[in-house]
Amino acid sequence: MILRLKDIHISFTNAHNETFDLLRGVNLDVEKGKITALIGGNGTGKTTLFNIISGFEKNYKGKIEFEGHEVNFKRMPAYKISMEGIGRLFQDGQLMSGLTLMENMKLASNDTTGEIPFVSLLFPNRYKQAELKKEAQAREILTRIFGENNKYLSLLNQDASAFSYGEQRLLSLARMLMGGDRLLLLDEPTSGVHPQYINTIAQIIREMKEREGLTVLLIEHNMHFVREVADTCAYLDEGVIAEVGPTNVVLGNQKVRNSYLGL
Amino acid sequence: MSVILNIKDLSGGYQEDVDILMGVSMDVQKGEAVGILGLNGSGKSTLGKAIMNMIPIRYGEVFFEGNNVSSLTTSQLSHCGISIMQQGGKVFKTLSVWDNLQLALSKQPKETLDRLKSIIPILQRPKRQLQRLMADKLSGGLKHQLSLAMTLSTNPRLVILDEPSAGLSPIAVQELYEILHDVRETFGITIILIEQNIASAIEFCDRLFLMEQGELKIQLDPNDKEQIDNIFFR
Ligand SMILES: Nc1ncnc2c1ncn2[C@@H]1O[C@H](COP(=O)(O)OP(=O)(O)OP(=O)(O)O)[C@@H](O)[C@H]1O
Ligand SMILES: Nc1ncnc2c1ncn2[C@@H]1O[C@H](COP(=O)(O)OP(=O)(O)OP(=O)(O)O)[C@@H](O)[C@H]1O
Ligand SMILES: [Mg+2]
Ligand SMILES: [Mg+2]
Repeated sequence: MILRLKDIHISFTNAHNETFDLLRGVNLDVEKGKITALIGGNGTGKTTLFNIISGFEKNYKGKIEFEGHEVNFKRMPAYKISMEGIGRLFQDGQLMSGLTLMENMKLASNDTTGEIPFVSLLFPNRYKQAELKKEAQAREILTRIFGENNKYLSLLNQDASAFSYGEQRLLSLARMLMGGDRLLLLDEPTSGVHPQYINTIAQIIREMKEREGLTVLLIEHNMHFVREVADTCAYLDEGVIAEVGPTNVVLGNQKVRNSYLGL
Repeated sequence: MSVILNIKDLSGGYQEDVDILMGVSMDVQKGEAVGILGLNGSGKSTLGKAIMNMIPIRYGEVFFEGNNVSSLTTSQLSHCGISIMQQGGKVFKTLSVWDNLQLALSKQPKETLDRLKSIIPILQRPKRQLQRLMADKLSGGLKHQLSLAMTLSTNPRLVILDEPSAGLSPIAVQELYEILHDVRETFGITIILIEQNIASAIEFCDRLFLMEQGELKIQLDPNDKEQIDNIFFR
């Protein structure tokens, strides 16, 4: 088990002091080296759950264990959690504009040699080596996703804002592969992505699982993709994980079919 | 049938010297649903923005209901009856859902809201709730519904929908397309649909175009399953 959520509750209060219980006791075990899909209707709290796990939302009740230890996520700033090896693709994930594609890729690396004060001045060679390594890794990842001699390799110095919406989502996903994270939280990785690339993403995620033992928890509304990649599927409904199990079993469940899939 | 939109040799992009659209020509018939499909970065959204005059056009013309509208501003175009739902669902984040709607609906008769209510689920929530819910707190799917409502609120005769089903749950996608069917049947609205959800586009559209590197390359027949499979799922 890499991540264990125990009895997670969250409520929101609006300006008029009306409260709404969104998550009402979520229990979920995310198995190491497996791909788990979190599905559920619009507005049921999937992204909110990601916000809790990645430290953006502190106002919850319940316990979270990461790699066997109870971690106080409430006390940890989001950047520390990301340094613990939990990476996240945001639902509206776009690149950082004002930076080039290559700069975006490099920033996602967990190799921080260049960020230690004065390293670049005192040890120019060491710094240069580290930078070259990251650049090679970025090229390698882009080649894996888009193929040999793809156009992105020649656009590494283009400002990130000059890529289309779907391209930015794909490239944000590419960034995630730079980090060497042990757990990836992906919020709708296929949204806005062309079917051809969806297949590529599925293939890459499966490969990384098999080769590197990567663990992925992903939110998706694309059931074709979920069937392709997810070992386990969890259905969030009315604030709790109403169904969890092997993907084909959960997607065949009558309640999931009626109220989520619309079949 | 009559032509509602006629695009002639449209070229342009975001910078003066870089064309993204490479001479796009297209006729859209009144009441028709035309789908635009294509790889990420092929120029689909750019075409939508070019029709709405949101980016500089270097060459070419756009005619709407027989009039040359190439030099009209985006807001003039929306008064003329064309409106766009932008990719990602644009809403005013610092306002409540209700205030977003009021802004969009301000000059419209009350029936417009009632009509939209009957077809867009989020609008069926109590007014009090909509007044208190800030747009930036909406989930991805609900934000999309609000954005669609705002797009339809000007009573357009032609709408450009840029990936309206992105981020919606499977059942919500079905509901959305039922809504769009109603919108077409009841109000005769003409639709240009940009989609990555190929199955929905095939089912909904009368004609489909494939965009490749800024050109409308092939016209696809939505019923030709083999051709579609070859292009998208090979
Ligand atoms: N900080 C907040 N304050 C008030 N309400 C909030 C807050 N954060 C989330 N919500 C509400 O919680 C609900 C769940 O939102 P969330 O984004 O988690 O849904 P989701 O399951 O990811 O849906 P989708 O599939 O549409 O993205 C929404 O109704 C949202 O408005
Ligand atoms: N704001 C911008 N500034 C400069 N170039 C841009 C900008 N937006 C898009 N482009 C470029 O225009 C081309 C077409 O982008 P467009 O957004 O039209 O693609 P799209 O077909 O809608 O893709 P997607 O399916 O990813 O939404 C891309 O190559 C992109 O790099
Ligand atoms: Mg969400
Ligand atoms: Mg687009």
